[in-house]
Amino acid sequence: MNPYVPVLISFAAAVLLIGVFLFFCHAFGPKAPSPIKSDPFECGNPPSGPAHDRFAVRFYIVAMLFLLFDIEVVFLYPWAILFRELGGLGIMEMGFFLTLLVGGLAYVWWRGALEWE
Amino acid sequence: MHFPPVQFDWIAAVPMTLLSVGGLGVLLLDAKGKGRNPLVSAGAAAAVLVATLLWFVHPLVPHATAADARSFTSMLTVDGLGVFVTVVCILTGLGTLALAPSYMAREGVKAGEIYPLVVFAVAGMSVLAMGTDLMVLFLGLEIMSLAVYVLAGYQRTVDGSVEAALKYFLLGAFASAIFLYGITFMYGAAGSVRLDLVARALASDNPNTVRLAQIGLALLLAGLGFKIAAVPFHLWTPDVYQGAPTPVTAFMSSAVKAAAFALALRILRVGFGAHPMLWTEAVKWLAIATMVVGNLAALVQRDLKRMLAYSSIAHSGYLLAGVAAGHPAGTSAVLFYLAAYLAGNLGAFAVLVAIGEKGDRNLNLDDIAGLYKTHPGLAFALSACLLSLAGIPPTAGFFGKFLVFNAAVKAHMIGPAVLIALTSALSLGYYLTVIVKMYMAEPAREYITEPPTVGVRLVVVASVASVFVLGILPSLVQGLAEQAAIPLP
Repeated sequence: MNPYVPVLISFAAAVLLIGVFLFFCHAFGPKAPSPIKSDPFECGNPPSGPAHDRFAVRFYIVAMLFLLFDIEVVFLYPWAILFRELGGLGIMEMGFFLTLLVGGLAYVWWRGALEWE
Repeated sequence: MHFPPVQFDWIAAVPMTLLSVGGLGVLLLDAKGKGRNPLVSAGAAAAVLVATLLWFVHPLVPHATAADARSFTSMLTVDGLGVFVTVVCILTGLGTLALAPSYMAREGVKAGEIYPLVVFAVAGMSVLAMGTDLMVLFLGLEIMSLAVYVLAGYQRTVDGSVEAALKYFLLGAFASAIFLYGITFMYGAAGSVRLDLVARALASDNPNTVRLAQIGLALLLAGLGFKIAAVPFHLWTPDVYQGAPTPVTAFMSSAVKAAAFALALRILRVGFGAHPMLWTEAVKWLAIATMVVGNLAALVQRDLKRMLAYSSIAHSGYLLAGVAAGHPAGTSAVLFYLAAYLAGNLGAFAVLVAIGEKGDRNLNLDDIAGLYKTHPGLAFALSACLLSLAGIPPTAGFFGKFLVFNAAVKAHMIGPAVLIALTSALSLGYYLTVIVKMYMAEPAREYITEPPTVGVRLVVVASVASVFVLGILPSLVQGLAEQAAIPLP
């Protein structure tokens, strides 16, 4: 038998069970509709103003830079854990990687992307 | 899962390293000077490109021969094809760097990132030209494309330029995703993304492998078709080429096309060289559609940049016919054609930079009427370049078309061969219209353009010279192209 058949069976069982629940709710559940119940429900305060507001473009630059240097750390962690095994070649490669990133930092600094005003 | 240790062959990676580290240096230099010295940045970027060029031609550099050219566990191959296309891209980059300062000064664009971006794009192209692993090739494709997206939208206050960047980026990202999806099918079929291992897996003739690889190849071809602007993946081309700054358009139409064709040749030749029946028909029909649609659409254009965009689509069609011809003759014809196209195309765009006014408003067919009377040199240069694009002897374009035609006939592809001749005759319709307007019509208006700068003059003179040198002595480059087309053992 194909090893995936049990997965298929449990998937079918899940779909069937949901169908049964929905059917019983629909068929036997008490129903007392009212206009307030039919209103769309939102939690929290009533919304004030549209959700598609304008942001200053500076926030995007900061967010982008944050992501870049955050991802850098993601690469540093596995390297730090395997530091001994990777040896001299690992140091060289990480040094090259960091040089490129520091170059990028110097660029955004000199171009004034880090200044708020 | 077992991964074999990767061999490190630094020598093979020197060109990419030079280009990317050099590009970073140019970026920092430009940022330190607050982008106020565009000529310094352009000069530094040109120095990086020339240094890389010297690395290839210098006799003291240990040259990899075909036998030991594979490096980084066959992920990178420094062979004739890779070096030839990289050199074509570097030359295009140099031309772009020479054209950009005067164009940007005229358009009032201050920032100087265009120079490092050109270097970064060339770095991606060198990876594309020499990569022999689908993931490495994808990396090269993205390094190149990201830089070119930004270049296309460089005039961010001009609507057309922003439109070009957005269209190019959105469609390009979509094409990259399709390409990547094709890679996953290749991996599913072959269990590897290395092209030599893909070829080995296909050699087993297992029907499941071949079927999966066929789906993967279809997706890869769709992604490639976008990059080389083949019909029916060409719809972005006219708007992007027209909207982008003219030096960038020259760069896109010559260098990006060359790199994408290197990618196509590499995938089809190394991965699928033993299985031409899987792709020859598809590439043949792409070529036919591209030649016909590109030339017909170019006939009705009034704007010169837009006309050259459609002409660039048409040339992709001729090149695709060479790719479909397959065997070494087709490959060497494609490589020669790329060099010949670079000469004519770069020269034509250089003339457009020289005669354009702010905002490229005057690059209409009626605006260049009587150019011969006011600027005889530029009129002659544009005529030479357009005749080369049309394929009239004794220009470079004639031999390019002749070689592609020859390869197609040798491969018994009579239909595409006849179409190459017919559509070339058709293309005379729009190329000659420009020349007739320049020489026969009276000037419709006063030209207020300043005399072209040294950089623009250099590009125009070098392009026209190469158009004639390649046209009269084609063997200079043809030998190199034939050498480059010898498949690796």
